[in-house]
Amino acid sequence: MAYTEKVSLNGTALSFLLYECMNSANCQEGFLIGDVTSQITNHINDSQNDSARLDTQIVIRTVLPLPSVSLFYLPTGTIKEDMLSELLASAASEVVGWYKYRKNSSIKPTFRDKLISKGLQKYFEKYHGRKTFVSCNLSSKTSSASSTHTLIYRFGKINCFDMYEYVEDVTANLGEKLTGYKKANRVSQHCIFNKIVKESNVQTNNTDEAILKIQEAVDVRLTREAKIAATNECSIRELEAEIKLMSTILADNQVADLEAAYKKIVEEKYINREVEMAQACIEALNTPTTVDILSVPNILISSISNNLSDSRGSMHVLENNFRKSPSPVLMQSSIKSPKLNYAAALKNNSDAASTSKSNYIEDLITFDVEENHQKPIVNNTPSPGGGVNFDTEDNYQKSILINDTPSGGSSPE
Amino acid sequence: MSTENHSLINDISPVFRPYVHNIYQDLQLGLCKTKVDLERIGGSANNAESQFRLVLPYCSKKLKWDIIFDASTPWFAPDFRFDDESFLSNADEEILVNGVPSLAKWNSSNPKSLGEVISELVAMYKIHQVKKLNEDESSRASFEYSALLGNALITEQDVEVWVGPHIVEFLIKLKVDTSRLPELYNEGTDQNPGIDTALLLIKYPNPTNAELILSPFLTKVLGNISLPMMHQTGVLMDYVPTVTEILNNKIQDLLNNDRLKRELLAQLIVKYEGAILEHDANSAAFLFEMNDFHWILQIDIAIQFPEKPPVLTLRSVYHCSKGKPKFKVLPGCSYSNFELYIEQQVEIFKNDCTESQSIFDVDHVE
Repeated sequence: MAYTEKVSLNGTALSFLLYECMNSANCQEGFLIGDVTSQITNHINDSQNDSARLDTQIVIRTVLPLPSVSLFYLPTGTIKEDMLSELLASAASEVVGWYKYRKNSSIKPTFRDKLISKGLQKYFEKYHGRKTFVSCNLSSKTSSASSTHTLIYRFGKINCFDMYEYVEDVTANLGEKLTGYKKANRVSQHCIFNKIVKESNVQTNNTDEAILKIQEAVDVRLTREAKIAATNECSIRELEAEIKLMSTILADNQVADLEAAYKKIVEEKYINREVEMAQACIEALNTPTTVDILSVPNILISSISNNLSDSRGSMHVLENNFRKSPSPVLMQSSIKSPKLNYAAALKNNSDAASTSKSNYIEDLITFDVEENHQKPIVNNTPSPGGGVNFDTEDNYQKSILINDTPSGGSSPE
Repeated sequence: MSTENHSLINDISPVFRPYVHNIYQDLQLGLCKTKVDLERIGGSANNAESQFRLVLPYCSKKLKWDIIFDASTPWFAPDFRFDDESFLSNADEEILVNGVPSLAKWNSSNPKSLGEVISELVAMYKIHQVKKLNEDESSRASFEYSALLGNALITEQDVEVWVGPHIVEFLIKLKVDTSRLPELYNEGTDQNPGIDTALLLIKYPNPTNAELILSPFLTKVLGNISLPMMHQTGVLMDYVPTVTEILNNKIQDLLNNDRLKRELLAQLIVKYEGAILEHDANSAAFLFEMNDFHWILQIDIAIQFPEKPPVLTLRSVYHCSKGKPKFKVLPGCSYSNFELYIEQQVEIFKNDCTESQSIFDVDHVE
């Protein structure tokens, strides 16, 4: 059998709902009170079967706004059942849905809205035997000059596949496309109007009198209800003022706590940064001191001469040419002596703070420092054409040795 | 984007601003630890916004999650709207309490609360995607994923999976060793704000177009890398180590080249120590003299050394043209007979300078 579900709001209920929502500060939630009626209609169509259709109509009569948001659920969307039963008290049997209003927002339900809908559906099914429960999301927007106010709302429910689906709503005179015969809304058998009619004991044969009698009875009932409503409204106003006061106090406290915590974190971050900088300075000071290259007596290059010239002969010739330039005199000897970590000195002079680890010696150049420069040039691997060949692999050692003993007359100065 | 973020943060009600400050400044998500972006939703004109949209990086996509606070109950946890309808749509209480404990026990006086909730939600989102992937056990992507993890080289934290309607994407963080790269370049954090990461993006059902995504620093260092094509039948568990090795080798090459460069410079500097005017990690300038003629030799060694030889420039100390000293960039750099070559070039340079007769004249300095 086909199945449809529709929500119907009458004008008063809708305007009350919107009035409550728009007069709230930011968000509001509450419950929708009404009746659910179902009827089976037979549809006539071309197929042979009787297509019966179960039409369920959820009639919303009025609205129960809650004084504050997030009263009956936890941040994870779980329903606090005791709170809920307390809030609803006697009205629980007539609740057919709930609504959530957010100012300036989209009406797509949020993650928690869906969880709450599901939770409420389960709760009402369990305790009040409700098979249908709808959710409504409302929002309003104002144009910049407050000249246009836009209200949007939509009904929906969580279906059996745990997906949110929309429920069509029908409201008299609001976007209704039918202009033909309007069927009277079915009212429940136990509604108040029927009760009044029964109580006034009208005789149906005298219709004029009957109508007047019913009208009187309805008027009496209405004035009575209006008086009760007036006193209730007064007490509601007082309670709302109290709630607002307490909420402001709570909110202020929370804001103060949060601000204090945030300031503390920012300060800590600042202090930590200072501490880090101080520690970095200390570390930098502790790294091995740079060597003043010019005060070291003999700096011998093991392979540069070989790489920059083909033969010893031409090198000597060039040496003569370059004699006047203050190049180091010590071109001619070599190797195999305690190391000088020239590159460390170079690095500390020239580079910005680099993060190379100091024990990664492989890329640091070590030169042999030796006093006696009479030894012949060691022929390392000859340079292949065009490539620069540095053969300093043999000379690596893990420690940095500085030759302090000044030798006579061989300082570059 | 950051100025927009700042204006948005200032629009948010001061009641909630500490939370937003915290996620904007401290939260780093995703495989490349990028910061989040904020967007405006709602559109109220006043300065007390209580909702905004968070743009998070995930796989190759950007997730857009709305975060909604309520100004009248600021102590209550925020609400979320996810752009993926299936995420957490039918979560029950247990899943939430276990997966997002910071939300279940929302601490309103801790500015880091929101950041923690977001991190936990992202972790849950990852699990959700993996679950979606494994729904179809027989699919190729699902097999590749389990094979990749089973290889023990890549862990779960290194892969982000995203399952779309007909496409499955993997974003894999490659284990590239960048620990020694700062020795080469040191640009500072404004040009390289993130951690140095190399990511591989592979889309099924067409895995042949793997994409390599490098952080800005690595892009500068490694340049254009052309990945080997992955065959239609290729397996991720082989391909990923191959690519990782390519990158690591390239980095090693760079470090080696740099070492050569430094060694060359250092040796030049030490050899001509008395002649050195100035030097840094990439270049050196020397003042030489030959036959009473002085000149400055500048040696610039480029990053691409040794493929690209050093550039030698001779500069005159006597002559100038157009207010700047006369200079000549030498056509080549000869590694052998270096000094002879320079000598010859200097002769030519000297002749060039003297014949164009712009001798440095004090009275005519501009």
